[in-house]
Amino acid sequence: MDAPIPTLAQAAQALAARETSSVELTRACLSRIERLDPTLNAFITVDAEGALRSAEQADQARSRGEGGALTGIPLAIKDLFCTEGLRTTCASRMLERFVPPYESTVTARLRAAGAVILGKTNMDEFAMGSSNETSYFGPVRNPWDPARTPGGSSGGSAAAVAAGLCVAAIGTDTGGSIRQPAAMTGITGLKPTYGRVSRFGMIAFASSLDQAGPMTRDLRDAAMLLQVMAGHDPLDSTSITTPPPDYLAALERPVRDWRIGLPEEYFGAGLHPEVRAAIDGAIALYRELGATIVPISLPYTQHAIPTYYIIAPAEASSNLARYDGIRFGHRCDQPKDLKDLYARTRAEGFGAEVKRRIMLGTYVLSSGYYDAYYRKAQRVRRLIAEDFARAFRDHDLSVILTPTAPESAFPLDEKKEDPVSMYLSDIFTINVNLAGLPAVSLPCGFDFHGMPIGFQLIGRPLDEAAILTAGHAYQQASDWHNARPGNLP
Amino acid sequence: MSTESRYETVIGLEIHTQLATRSKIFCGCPNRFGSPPNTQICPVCAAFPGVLPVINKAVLDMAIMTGLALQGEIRTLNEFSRKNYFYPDLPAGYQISQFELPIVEHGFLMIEPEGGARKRIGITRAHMEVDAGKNLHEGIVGASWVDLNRTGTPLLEIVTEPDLRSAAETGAFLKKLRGLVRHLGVCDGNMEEGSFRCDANVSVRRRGETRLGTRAEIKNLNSIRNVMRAIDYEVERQIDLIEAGEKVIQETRLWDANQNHTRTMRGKEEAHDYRYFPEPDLPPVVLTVERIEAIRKRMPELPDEKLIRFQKDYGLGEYDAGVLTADREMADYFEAAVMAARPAEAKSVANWVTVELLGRLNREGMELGQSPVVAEALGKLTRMIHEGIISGKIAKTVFGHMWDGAGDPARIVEEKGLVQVSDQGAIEAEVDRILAAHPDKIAQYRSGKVQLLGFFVGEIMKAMRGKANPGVVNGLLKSKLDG
Amino acid sequence: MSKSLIQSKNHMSITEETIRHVATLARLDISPGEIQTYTGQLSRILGLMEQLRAIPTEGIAPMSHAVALTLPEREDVAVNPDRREALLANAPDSEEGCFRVPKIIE
Repeated sequence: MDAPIPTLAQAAQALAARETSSVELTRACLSRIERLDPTLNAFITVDAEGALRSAEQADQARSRGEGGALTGIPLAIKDLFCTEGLRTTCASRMLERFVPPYESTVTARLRAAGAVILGKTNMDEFAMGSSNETSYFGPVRNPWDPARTPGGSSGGSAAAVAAGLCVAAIGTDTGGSIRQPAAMTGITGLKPTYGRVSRFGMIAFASSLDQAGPMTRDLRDAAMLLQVMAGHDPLDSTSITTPPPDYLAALERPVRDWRIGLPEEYFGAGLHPEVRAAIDGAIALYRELGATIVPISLPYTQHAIPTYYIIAPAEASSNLARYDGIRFGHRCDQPKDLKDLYARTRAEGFGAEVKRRIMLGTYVLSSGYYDAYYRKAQRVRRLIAEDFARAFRDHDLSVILTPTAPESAFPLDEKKEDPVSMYLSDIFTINVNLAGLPAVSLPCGFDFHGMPIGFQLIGRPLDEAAILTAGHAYQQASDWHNARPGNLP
Repeated sequence: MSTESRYETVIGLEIHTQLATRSKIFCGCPNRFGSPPNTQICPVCAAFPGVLPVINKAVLDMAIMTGLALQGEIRTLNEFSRKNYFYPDLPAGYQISQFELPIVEHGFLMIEPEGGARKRIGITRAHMEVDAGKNLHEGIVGASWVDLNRTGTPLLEIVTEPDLRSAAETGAFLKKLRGLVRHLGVCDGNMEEGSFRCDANVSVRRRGETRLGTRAEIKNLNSIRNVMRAIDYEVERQIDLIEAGEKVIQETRLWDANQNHTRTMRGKEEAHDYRYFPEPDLPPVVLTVERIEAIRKRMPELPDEKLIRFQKDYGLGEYDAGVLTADREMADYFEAAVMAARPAEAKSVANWVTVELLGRLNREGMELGQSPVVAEALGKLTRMIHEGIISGKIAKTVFGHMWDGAGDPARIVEEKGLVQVSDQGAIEAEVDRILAAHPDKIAQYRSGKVQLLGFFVGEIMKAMRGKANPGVVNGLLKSKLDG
Repeated sequence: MSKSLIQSKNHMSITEETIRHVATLARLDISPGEIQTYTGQLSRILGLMEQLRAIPTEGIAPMSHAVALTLPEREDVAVNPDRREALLANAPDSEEGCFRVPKIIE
């Protein structure tokens, strides 16, 4: 067996000290991908040639004394970031052969910082799913147990980080798609404040909820990636102009006397007892670190699922209208007229879950239903957002602590045919997207099956620093994030 | 009572004006007409996966200015929405438009239909949106082609109240509106090229009925003349239907200028459900009062305001003022000419512009912009008449030289020796000489044939090659003949 | 459709007719079997939504954006690289610099 893949911070240090080279690191990742990915199916496209070329350039830059923290670091990118000249599929038959002639802002920033892009990771089709089973390229398997899901939609990125196929990865989160798979694979996944990271070139699922973020081994790595990803982008009208602070500096603050909110609604009957026990352990640790645990209430929590499953599919139904078989992507054979071109192209190009959500979104926006569904959901969305604002303000909280998911990684196929129970697995994460807040999931234990369990820290708008501080303090005092799946071939 | 006169026509318009910006509404592609297909597009306007719109500031400014010119309310909080439908010339599958909160509401425009009284036409709203591309069909076998160059061109859609009652009123309204957007410089108003497009909602109802009849929306109207013809046709069609006991169907109809009729639009028979919702990629537009006022300040004076000012400040009649304010170029020319003359001479300047200059331009088939006589020169010429340097008659000669490219009137007068003689002595000598030569005519004059005065003036002018000051000539003649 | 009609409508029992209409709006060719599946699934998903009706939301402004921002504006500057070749490269069918589609009848 080869040497373990280091964390980003370790790799950056080793590269800076010339103890290793980017080519060496990249080769190590590529060889692990070659060995393990036939089992895990974490990657849709591996760009070995391009990665090694970037690695060589990174090594040259380092030898000239140039480069920054990410120079030469091999990363895996969720396959919905458009990469110029490199196939971008969104895990859909629709975009199976799509090669973008432009680059997303996130990947452009990472490349400019010297990062090496190993390839594009598997995901739920168009990021719609919580188990990675909706991918046209087949499900990703959990490195802790290949019979189980790694979660979704950023399941490929999560599995790649957990299995050490890359140093770190980039995911996106519309309703929990970074945090839930992070929890299920025992890694750290951070969703920034909506607008903190540019969405330009990120294939849209639900525009008012989508946000990109780092998926890493620990909070330090997350801070390092976020520092490069965050910042204003004139190409995204929803991008926040406030300059990002020094995230690494935020790591070093103590959490003594911090007030951490614990919403009662997140600890109800739906929560698996083993998850509950692991979260209790995390809470106890924070007490030991000198933080004050404050019971709070977020009364609109229970309405997040229906609210989300109106708003997200509505936006998606419109966002996915551009896949019409005319300018790019799949086109049906021998369309007999325009209507046939549209209807068959889209029926063939999209998978079942995507179609289900397009149908749902079309329905809730359609004449006669808009007010009852869409506008109602938008009003409830405000109530959900105000819940958080009130709790932070009234209880003077630094962060809110919750479970990330009601249960650990479930077996593949378990919920595949039951959309409603699949949707319910997002119950602790989607509120955060509706409110636009930053949140991170980090590991805090294992269940009886040896599956990782994660908890979530939610911050005030634009206060990524607070969740980094709180998360890092936890990881300094615990060891869960260092556990690696042991039964990999 | 004829069949037609028992019905009232009700017309409302939707006008799509392409805003004359340098770049498109949501990307940096040039806003230009007539390039080879798909050479003016980028991933954003061609709606590739993952791209995002960023609004062009000039679009907002032009929309605000047009809204102010239409006396509308500018919504300081307005928002973009998505209008969802599938069509090959609409690459995103939705049009970014405005729905619930448009930028302009509650405006109006006064029209002066020929032979009718001034009338106020309500503007319901004006909103910003993107133009679609073009589907090409002609000469293509078994397929259509999609050219997206026009996709993303900024449009301001102006929607009127159903206040128009005839083709003539509609024509007058469109001329007025087109003049206005040109005057503001926000749209070139070219209907043939499609930068100023009009759809007409036409219905009829029996006189006295207060409810609106079922309307047909008429498209493909590429000139004001065609709009008027289409309305006339459509009104007749609808009245015939009703008279025959049939019903008018609410539908979209295409005007066919060759066949001189409207016909049902096929292919779009499915009921539309545009599923509007607020555009999540674009935060709401928030306008400050300061910005709106700054635009109001730099807005060129409106034609209607100018019309009133010209009458008041320059003492012009309504007709002359109307001619001179018909377009901005004309008004600017006139005012520059008055500057070179004197305000008191404005009426005379107006006369020179509307009679001599426009007459000549018309005869030569030229536009004002092509005039070889610049405004300052024409003003100077008028001034020279008033200062008595030349007579009005000589001025016409000078104008002829100016037209032929001789330039400055003072130099022409000097070079050609056309300076008017005002010297009393010189003129008196000539008067005396002419009177001495025509004693018979003097007798006739004194016996009552006073129109012979003109004969004497003419003789003196002839003798002095037109350079005599006509006032002095008149005065001397009168005192000698009558005295 | 009037408000009272919507409220009296039982969303739990979405009809196959509605599913067909929605599929047409969404331009999705769906088989009779899929119509049945979607009718059942969408009914159950919409059943989840029922709980929202009971929430009083009068006077609550709809929230369209996660973060309260105002629209940023771009200067009116045109850039003009002709990218036709790159933008046609992904097209399933193109001809003479245009995207080719089945004949459109207007």
